[in-house]
Amino acid sequence: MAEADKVKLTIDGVEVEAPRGSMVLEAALDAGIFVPHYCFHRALSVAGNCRMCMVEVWPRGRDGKPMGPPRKPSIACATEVADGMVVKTKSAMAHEARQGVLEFLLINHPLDCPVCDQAGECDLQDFSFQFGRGESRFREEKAIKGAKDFGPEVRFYGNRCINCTRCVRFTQEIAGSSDLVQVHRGGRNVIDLADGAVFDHPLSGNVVDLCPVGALVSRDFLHKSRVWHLDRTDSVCPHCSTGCNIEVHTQDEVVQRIKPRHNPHVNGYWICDRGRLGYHHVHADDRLTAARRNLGPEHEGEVSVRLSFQEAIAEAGAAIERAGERAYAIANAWLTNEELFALQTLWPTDRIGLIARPPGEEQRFYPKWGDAERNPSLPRQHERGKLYEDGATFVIEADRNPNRTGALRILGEQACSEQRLDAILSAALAGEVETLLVFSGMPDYHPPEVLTGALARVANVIVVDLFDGPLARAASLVLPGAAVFEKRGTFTNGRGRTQRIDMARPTPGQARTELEILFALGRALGRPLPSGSPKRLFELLVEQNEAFAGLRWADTHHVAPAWSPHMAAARKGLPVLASPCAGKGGSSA
Amino acid sequence: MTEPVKVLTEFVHEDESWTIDRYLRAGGYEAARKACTEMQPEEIIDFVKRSGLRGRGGAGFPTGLKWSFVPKDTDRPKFLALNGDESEPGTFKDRLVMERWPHSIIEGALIACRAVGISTVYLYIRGEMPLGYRRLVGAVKEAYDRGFLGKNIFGIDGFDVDMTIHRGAGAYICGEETGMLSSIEGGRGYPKLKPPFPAVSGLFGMPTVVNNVVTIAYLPYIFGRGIEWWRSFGTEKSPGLMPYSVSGHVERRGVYELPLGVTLRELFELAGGWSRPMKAVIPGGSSSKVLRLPDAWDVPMTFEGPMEAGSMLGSAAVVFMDETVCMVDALYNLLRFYEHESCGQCTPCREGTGWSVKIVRRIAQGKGRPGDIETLLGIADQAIGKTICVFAEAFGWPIQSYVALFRDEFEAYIRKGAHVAHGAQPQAAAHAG
Amino acid sequence: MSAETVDKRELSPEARKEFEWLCGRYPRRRAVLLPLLRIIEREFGCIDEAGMALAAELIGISAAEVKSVVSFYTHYKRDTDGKYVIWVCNTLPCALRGARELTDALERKLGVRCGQRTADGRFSLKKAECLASCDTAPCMQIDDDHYDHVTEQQLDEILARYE
Ligand SMILES: Cc1cc2nc3c(=O)[nH]c(=O)nc-3n(C[C@H](O)[C@H](O)[C@H](O)COP(=O)(O)O)c2cc1C
Ligand code: SF4
Ligand code: SF4
Ligand code: FES
Repeated sequence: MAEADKVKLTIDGVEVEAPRGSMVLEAALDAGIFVPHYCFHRALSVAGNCRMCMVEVWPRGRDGKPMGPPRKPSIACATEVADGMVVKTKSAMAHEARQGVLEFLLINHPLDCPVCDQAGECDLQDFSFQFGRGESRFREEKAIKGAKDFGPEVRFYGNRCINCTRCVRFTQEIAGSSDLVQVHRGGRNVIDLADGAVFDHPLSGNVVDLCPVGALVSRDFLHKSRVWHLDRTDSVCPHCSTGCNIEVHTQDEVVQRIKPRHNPHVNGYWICDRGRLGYHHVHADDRLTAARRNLGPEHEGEVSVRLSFQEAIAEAGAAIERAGERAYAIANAWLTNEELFALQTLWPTDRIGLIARPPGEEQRFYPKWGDAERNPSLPRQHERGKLYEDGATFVIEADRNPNRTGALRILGEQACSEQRLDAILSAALAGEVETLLVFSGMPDYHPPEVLTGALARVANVIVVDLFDGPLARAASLVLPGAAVFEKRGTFTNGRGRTQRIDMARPTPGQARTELEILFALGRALGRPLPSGSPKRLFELLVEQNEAFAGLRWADTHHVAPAWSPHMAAARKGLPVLASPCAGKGGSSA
Repeated sequence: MTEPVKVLTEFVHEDESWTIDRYLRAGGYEAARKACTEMQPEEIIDFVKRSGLRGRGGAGFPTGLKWSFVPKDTDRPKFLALNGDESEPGTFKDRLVMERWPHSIIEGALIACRAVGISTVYLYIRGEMPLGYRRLVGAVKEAYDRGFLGKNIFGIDGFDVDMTIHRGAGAYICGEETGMLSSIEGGRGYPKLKPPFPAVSGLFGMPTVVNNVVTIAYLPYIFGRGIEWWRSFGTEKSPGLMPYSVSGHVERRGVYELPLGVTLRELFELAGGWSRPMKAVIPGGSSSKVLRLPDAWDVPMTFEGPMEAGSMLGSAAVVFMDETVCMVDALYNLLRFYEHESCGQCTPCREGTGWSVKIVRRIAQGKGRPGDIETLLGIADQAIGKTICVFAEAFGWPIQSYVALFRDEFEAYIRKGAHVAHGAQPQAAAHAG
Repeated sequence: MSAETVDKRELSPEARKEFEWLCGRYPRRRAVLLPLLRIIEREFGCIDEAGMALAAELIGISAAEVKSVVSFYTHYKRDTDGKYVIWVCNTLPCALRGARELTDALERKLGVRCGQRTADGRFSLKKAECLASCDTAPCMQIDDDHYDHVTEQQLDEILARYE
């Protein structure tokens, strides 16, 4: 950025540089100075209504020197930075203003933290603790506003709402649907939908993350767990080729919820509901946890024999060996780059095909308000929400698979083509395939009849899958595989960005990651892979494959930006600093 | 003794005073014709500046200066938004002019448009004024028919002005200038963050002049009769005339058009006085701080006068209260109003209005507690200066002043559980709600 | 996304024309929302769910936004209101000059409290905030008609005008 586009100001005695046109709050957060706030959000227009971010601002006078103490505090979120400005975020004026706001916010709040899902990640709770007065003078009756389900994923507790309008601005400016609005006026203000409407927008769950308090909560997560019990793992959503960055939250190795992780190049602060709720398959009842050999109909009574992992690998290896050129493999667009690379190392690509989940509808969200003709009052900074060049605020790609691009790059176009799959299936139907290794393991994947039909004509069908579904039933040998949240590795999204996924929990029972299976198979076949480590394989891939040239393992993990250093940031897209009162060595109390 | 000077109100009691014919007979549209044809826009602004005209809407901002903030060299459309939302309790001057002398507003608007280079005017009239709405719509139609609105007005090539009457729907906050703009834009009447100020980014994000309808209605007279005439009334800092709305405990309530600087005593006497001893007066609408009588009798009603006495001229709505009025009840009545009318955006205002009314209602119901007064003052303190618009002041100042000036009455009420003022109460606690 | 059950409404040709004319008076269609709601109020007697859906469709915004706007303002006649709405001013300047007595009288005559609707659905009685008529207090409005210096004795005669 050119010098001219920067201004220099002083915040709490520290000289800070900030882009011209940015707000004091952003400048402070970027400089690691935490100013508490509710209504401000980097991707939304500035509302300036919560008044939590009040600071003391000394503007620069005509003589170039700061003018002296102001009569009243200003909100940092709507005060534009200026050269020579002096800002005090911890002065008595700022502190008292904040205490006042907190006291006001709590007077009608039910204080039901013990039963609130937000407890532990609530900005009302946190800020009251850090900045509050500790006692309220309120002795009157609290206003009552009811609770109701807004939609399949979102439940609203009116009493807890602080009317920051983040959710309203989200549906206006990001989702473009304007589902959520404020109704009534003054103290009766409350968030609501149109009469009889259901909030089932594909992005609905994001308002739960945006809500700084426990007013909008996830129905999926309702009373499931206390947030301080959760372990968090950075990963990438597998449900479409956007590759939204996520956090997987687990407790005792059970996935409890998925949260978006901020990445300005991919998903901003958001994920779609399909991704948010798309973890239940991990704990599905029909999840495979043991390897087995299916017995043919000639075996009365018994249908299958349980095998150990070693036995299964040995049998699979033998079947592949025996088949020689008549052995084929079907990969899928949910395998990691490292797994695909391992497969490509073990298997001639002209005998590999690819299955994937069929495309859905592509959904791009634009603020409807971009339509200036109808725009009521253009959200002033609605530019903020723009994620893509074309103005889209979020895109759900039609390709419902996370790694088709990786597959294309590693296995090649032919292997990934429809024709190749057709050719393999035709060969199978013609009885020309002796052994077929099928990787499935895609949730909500319904294998087409041609596929199951073809399997019936193959002597040895080795299926690696998550579920005891049609493919596992059609197999002769079944190996339980791993869900995305049980693996390490990388996916390459539709726009060619290679991103890391990580293990949020171990594979259940005898299930193994596809990489472990391939590694074991390599040994069994006498062609051991150079490494079983995803990182090492990735490095080899980068060396060998032009399309990945220059990438480093470390770069595949996007780390949330500096102004959101601790967990709350990733959790909710909220900038929160490790030590909130943070002077030097400031305590967190 | 200051005498009424009837200018805007000269013919308002006549039948059909609102018609264009009546207005033309009184010399209407001549001043605007002269100003627009004979003066350059810059000269018009300069003239208004020199006249010392200040806004009649409540803030008293110098009108010429406000106009000069609008960017000159811009091809973006500019707007004039006229504020006829008049809902400040005690104020009824705008309504009189809109209902009975509407052409003065249209003529004044022409002068403003010429000066600032505006061709679109919206007049926002309060939803509860259907008669005023009909009269203004009629007046606008007449003005179009006679060529005072539309294209090439006064034969000036390219001097086009369109005017639309925009009817509100019941919300005091739409009187706040940016709340009004939100309402014209078709939204909730939420005041907007400032800066940017309307002069730079107002209606539809375009440069916008916001003026009270009466401010604008005075322009034809100032241009017609000259700066000297205008400045012959009032004081150096507060020149000219003001329609004072006088209500409460006086014999003849009404709008009194008088030179700025008339004292509260003179207003009281002009309005026929009252049979009982007086206790308090609100000088500038319910949001201005209440003053004690007899202490305030000699306060001159200029922009400076009430300020020096600890209040403000505001909308020049003077409400007299006699000794029977219980100040707890009076404050309760007003806080109930503010609670009802807060737009609810800002935390301190949304919560502070609700909280304070609950406390005062409780006191009025005889259930006051020690510490209530401090809490009330604390609420005002925590809200004033900390919100998007000055509504926080509007409810905070009454709290501060009623409690400060009549603290003994509040304390006694809390102690005894009943009011201590003589006789009737304006709003009994039982009437709460 | 509003419910399908809402019956669909249309403006009369004259109202439609007025709406089109209004659209030409503002640079953005959204600005026509408040005047359009007045048209709908006049055409259908009040603003109800179907009316809001119509406004949403004509302006091109979500039904939720229309609800948000309608509910902000107090003066639109809603489907929960009586056929006529009586607004009796109760703010301080009126309260000093008999608003309470007038309000009590109205409550007695109509047999309802402020904020309620008569059993026959004819009237809603509501407290108004300062009607800018403090010089003629006590005052009230019934829909678009304004009444000054109202005494209890006049009430029967006035109310009888609203069938
Ligand atoms: C809460 C509030 C209510 C207001 N109500 C009105 C009003 O009803 N009419 C009005 O002209 N100005 C009102 N104002 C003042 C306007 O914001 C604005 O200052 C005025 O319209 C400017 O016009 P003027 O400079 O000609 O006075 C109000 C201000 C506030 C803060
Ligand atoms: S529901 Fe949450 S996000 Fe929405 S306004 Fe209330 S507090 Fe803010
Ligand atoms: S101060 Fe009150 S009225 Fe003004 S914008 Fe804030 S909440 Fe609304
Ligand atoms: S007012 Fe600044 S964050 Fe809410």
